[in-house]
Order: sequence, then structure tokens, then C-alpha cells
Amino acid sequence: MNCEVCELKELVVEQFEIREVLRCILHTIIFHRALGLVRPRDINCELFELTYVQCGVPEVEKEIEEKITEFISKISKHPNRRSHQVCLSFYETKDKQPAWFSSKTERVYWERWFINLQITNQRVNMKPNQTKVGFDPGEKLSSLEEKLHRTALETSVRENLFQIIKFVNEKMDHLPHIPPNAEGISYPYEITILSSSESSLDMLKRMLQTGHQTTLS
Amino acid sequence: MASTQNSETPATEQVITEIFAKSLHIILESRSPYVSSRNYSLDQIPPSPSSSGGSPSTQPGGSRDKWFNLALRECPAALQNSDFWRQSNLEPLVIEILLVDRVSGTEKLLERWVVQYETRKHPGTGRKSKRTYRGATLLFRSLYLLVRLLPAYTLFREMNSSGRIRSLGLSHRIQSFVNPLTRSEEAEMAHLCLTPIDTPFGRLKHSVSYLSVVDDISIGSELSTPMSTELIPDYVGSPTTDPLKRFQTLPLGGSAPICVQPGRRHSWSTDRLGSLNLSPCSLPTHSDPQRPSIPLPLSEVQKGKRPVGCYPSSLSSPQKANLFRCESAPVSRDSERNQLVRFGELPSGVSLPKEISIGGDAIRYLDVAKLPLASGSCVGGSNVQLLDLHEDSDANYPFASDDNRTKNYEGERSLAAIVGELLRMLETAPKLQIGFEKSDGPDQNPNPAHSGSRTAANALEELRSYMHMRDSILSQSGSHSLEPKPEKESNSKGSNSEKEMKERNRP
Repeated sequence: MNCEVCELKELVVEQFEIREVLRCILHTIIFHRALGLVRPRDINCELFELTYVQCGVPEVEKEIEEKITEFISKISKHPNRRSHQVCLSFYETKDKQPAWFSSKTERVYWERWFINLQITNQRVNMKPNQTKVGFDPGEKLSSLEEKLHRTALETSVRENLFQIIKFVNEKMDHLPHIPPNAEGISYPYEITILSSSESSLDMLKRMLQTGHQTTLS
Repeated sequence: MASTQNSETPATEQVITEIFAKSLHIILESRSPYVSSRNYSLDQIPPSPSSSGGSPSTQPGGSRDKWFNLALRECPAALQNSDFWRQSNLEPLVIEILLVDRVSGTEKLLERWVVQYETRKHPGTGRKSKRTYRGATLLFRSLYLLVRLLPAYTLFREMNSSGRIRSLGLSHRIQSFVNPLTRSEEAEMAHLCLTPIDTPFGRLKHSVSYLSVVDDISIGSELSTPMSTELIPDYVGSPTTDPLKRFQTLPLGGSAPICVQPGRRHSWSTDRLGSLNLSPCSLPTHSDPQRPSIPLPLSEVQKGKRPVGCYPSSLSSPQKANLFRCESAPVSRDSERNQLVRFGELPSGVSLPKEISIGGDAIRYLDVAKLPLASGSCVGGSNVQLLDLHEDSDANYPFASDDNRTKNYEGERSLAAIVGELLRMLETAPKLQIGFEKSDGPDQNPNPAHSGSRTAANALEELRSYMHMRDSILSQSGSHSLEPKPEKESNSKGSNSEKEMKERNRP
């Protein structure tokens, strides 16, 4: 089975925007892959004039929030790294031939989404001595820059969502069979956090290790 | 069940029919204001299993359409039109979303959705009905999100969230044929197609043409009939509908800055223009220090704020008493009251400010040169009346009753007319002098026969007469039958005081 990969366009975000942006994109992808019965929930973005859709499964919402929190704490430990990736993978478990020191089942990933984020700290870059009494062109410029940044980010998020729609519409043949009477999430998934220093090989190793741990019974 | 007149199996036919229904449901649910319910999180309907063949909407206790594993609430707009396409699945389902001006009745095409079944050239190469169902399940996830990403959804959200009655609204039209778009529509609309859903003997295509930017360039230029401003005399809160309100509207200082609130027609656009990327329509801010302002509504007058006036910044005249007139010919005072202000006829060089905040409500004006119709709709679309703001005794009260209005209903004096007349009397009355006061000059009282200072006793007597008049008015409004004696007395007193006032006011 082919593993389809979708690299979403990079988003330049500030620290406080990470949560809302990741919520928007992760929920949108999962909504498209939760092919069991769902009761969609419209969520109005707090930061943008944008409405995205959640699949309405509380466990999904909880897991996404936890992963976002984990991501934020991880990037705060590495403030010098600007580029980060969040990977949302869909897999199915398959039995394999039991062998020495290997698990009985394995995860076969059939779709991966890479959300690329570049973290900026515009407000951190402002020097404290720039503030003056009275008219401060620096403040005006920074608020204008902030507006431009917010507008650009909203546009980029929209582009990401359209990219998701395009991808899910174009590639359908690789989807596994939907179990009957499925409710909500029809395919298992996992969210992993990558950093710029981690290569795809490292990611693969980590995923294998993760698979090994989960298949131990 | 509608038929495709092909060899589709009954199960496939049913799926195709439900695809049409679901498409209509999803689109109208997010485009028909006030008839959709989107708060699914509040639902307490217990989950029910859905088979891969889908669940019909007739499940017991279920008010949700669960076909294609996407549980949606009922959408009345969709239900009303549910039988439209059932005649034949071969006919396309065309849903047009329109922006409608409720006042003028003009409409503008915002989106056109087309769902069409096409037969396959080589039958038998398509998918089975189960695969058709799965393809539809995937498509509707995307469609559900897509309708929320397009610009018209922002309008829908705005109209749903605000409780105000707006002059512009969203409407829809459902057809079974596709009207070709005009050249301008083709030029300004973007197009999207979702991946077709394959059936054993055909496929279903979903496509949309939409205005990529819902700004007033499109709306203003494409409206079929020109929009002119009109004065709405019976707006909610006007003295004609609420006569007693006139007592509250006595402005300070005797001037009459009562202007009709110009916000009804264009309130949605003025609120949402910025978020809908209206940069082509936005005006450059004027550097003129004489910043213009628009007439304040009555509430602002009551707060004691002094309206500056109503004039565009490009008018060079510093005289704030000048009316802002679109027409070149001078007009008389009486006609000004009901004068229509046609912003489409603004003289060249006149432009309106980009944004003026009044009481926290941002009202934006559009470039008249670019959008003559839109500006007419947006600025003074219905009821703008501009008045002198710094003149005193001969100030006009647009809602004060004049002779034409005093006898509105079959020749009888209406309560509003009586109150209006009383107001006029009060305002034209000279100032009371308690004791001896300075007089500005020998010409202050031209009538020597009635000269002499008025004492407090005179004032009290006058007050009593007014109170009698008030009582008579109230009693008239309460019951038709009045005692002849009190009425006569009050009327006579009222008439006496009226005569007295008129005599005093004689030049």
C-alpha cells in the first residue's frame, strides 16, 4: 500500500498563535479522515475570520490539545530553532510473521501530513527603549507589521485548508476500507512532533520504536 | 425516486438522489440566514449506529440527516426544495446564492453551485454503489468545509449573529438549468470543482462559481436598477410612530440637528467591509482638518453632543450652516424637509471619508465615483436628511408637523399634529423673564402695547394653561368622549394662550 504524503505550506506564526493554527489544521485533516458517523462542529477561529470544522469527538479534541501543549513546551526549550514540524499520520495495524525480538503486529502508515511552522518572535525583537512618551513611529510600525503578519497568516491558513481539500479529493484510492457502523474516527492516527534537526530517518526510527511499544501486550 | 434513465441499480439511484439532497442541505444550511441551526454541540441526541448504506432521515427520534455519515440538523430551506430535483436525477441542481437589497429588490449573484449527474460514455466501467457511497462520504466532508471557507459564509455569519434588521440579505434560487454567466460575472468569479463521484454508469460533479472577493465593486456595478435614496417617514422611533418621543427630542440650544439615521440599508457592508478585503473600495483618508462627520442620530442629540454637520471634506466652505446639497438649484426650506439626497449625483470632486465612528459603530462610505449605486445604497440609501445645524428660530424640524401633516386622517387633527403644534409654540415663544432682566436693545420688543416685563405669575399662569392643554391632549388620546365643559375650558384656555403667543410673536 502506498503512503501518500502531503506537505502543507509553511506557516509563519508567533508563539501565541501556534495553538489556534494547529487546532485549525489538525481538526480539519482529522475531520476529513473521520469517515464514521460524525456530528460536525463549527468552530470560529479566535484569531482569524475563519471557521473550521471539528469532527465532534471529544477524545480527538483532548488528544489534539495535549499534543499542541507538548509541541509548545518542546519549542520553548529550543528557542533558537525556528522551523518545526508536526506530523499527523494515519495507519492501520497488520499482523506480521512473529519472529525473534519483534512484534506480532506492525503499523502500516498509509497517509502522512506534515504541518510546517516557522516560529517568529516579533514582539521579543522590540527593544524596551524604543517606547517614548508621545508619538512613537516604532510602535506604529510594529502594530502595522502585526496587522500585516496577521493578515498574511490568515491567508496562509486558508491556503492550507484549500490544500487539504484538494489533497483529499484527489487521492482516495489508498484509503483503507471503512469498517461498518463506524462512529467518528474510522482510522487510527498519531500526532508526532518533529524539529528541524530531526531527519526523516530519525523520524522513522522513532516511529518504529513507538510501534514496538504500543504492540506489546 | 428520480431516475437517471440509465441502468443504475435502485440502490445507486437512491444514493444519487440522496447526494442531491445532501448537497442542497449543506449549501443552504450555511447560506440561509436565520433558518439554520449550527450548534451541534448542544445536541443531546444519542448516537445511533449508521450502516455503510447510510441512514435515512426518518430515524425514530432523530432530527438529523445522517446520510454519508455526516449528521446534519434539519434545514427548512432545504426541506422546502427537497422535491425539486426528484423529478429526474438527470437534471442539474443549480443553487444560486444572491445578495439581495430588500429596499430596491435588486440582487447580485454571489455563488452558483451546480450538482450534475452525467452518464458515462462507456457504461460498466464505473464503481459499484458502495464505492459511490464512500466517494460521496469523502466529498461531503470537503463540501461541508468548503462552504465555510468561501466569502459568502462571512456574510451569512454576520447576518445570523447580528439581530439587526438589515437592508441587505442573502437569498437563494434553485433551478434545474444553468444560466450562462455574463462576461463580467465570468471575469470576477472564481471556479472550483470537486472530484466527481463515480457511479457504475455515470458520475456526479460538484462545482461552484463564486465571487472571490465579496466587495462592493461587484455589488455596486452589477445592480440592475439604480438605487436612489428615500426618506422613510415612519421608521421605528420616529415621531410619526411615536409622537410622544418628540418631547424627548428637544435639542439643546434650539437648533435642530435631527437627522435620519443613515444606517439601515448598508449596515452589513459597513460592518464587514474591512474583513472582506475591500481595499479596492476603500477611500484614502482625507487630510483635511475639517473632518466631516455624518448627521448624528437622535440618541446622540439627546446626549447633548453637538453635531458638527454634514458635509464632505472637499467642500471648501467653512460655513457649517450650509447644507450639503447634491442638487445645484437652491431649495426652499419646506422642500428641504422631504428632499431626497441622491448620492449618485454628487458633484465631482466630492468624496466621502473612509470611516467615521459614531458611538462605536463604524460606518463606512464607499467611493462614489467607483460605486455610484453602492454608495447610494450604503450611505444615504434610504433616509439621509441634512439640515442646518446652527440656525435658531427658523430651524426646520423634519418630523415636526406642518400644515400638511396636521390633518392626516380624514381631516381630523391627529395627536401627533397637536403635539407638534405645541412644540412649535414652545420653541417660538420668547424667553421668560423673571423679574427685571437686561434687554439687549430698544428694539427687543417692537410691540409697545404689550410691553412690560412678565412676572413669575404670568409664567405660572402660562404653565397652567399648558398643563391643561396637555391634559386635554392626553384625555383625547385616551377616550373619545370628553366632557364638554372641561374640553371647552381647556380648549378655550389653550386657544387663548395660543392667541396670546401668536400676538406676542407678531413682528
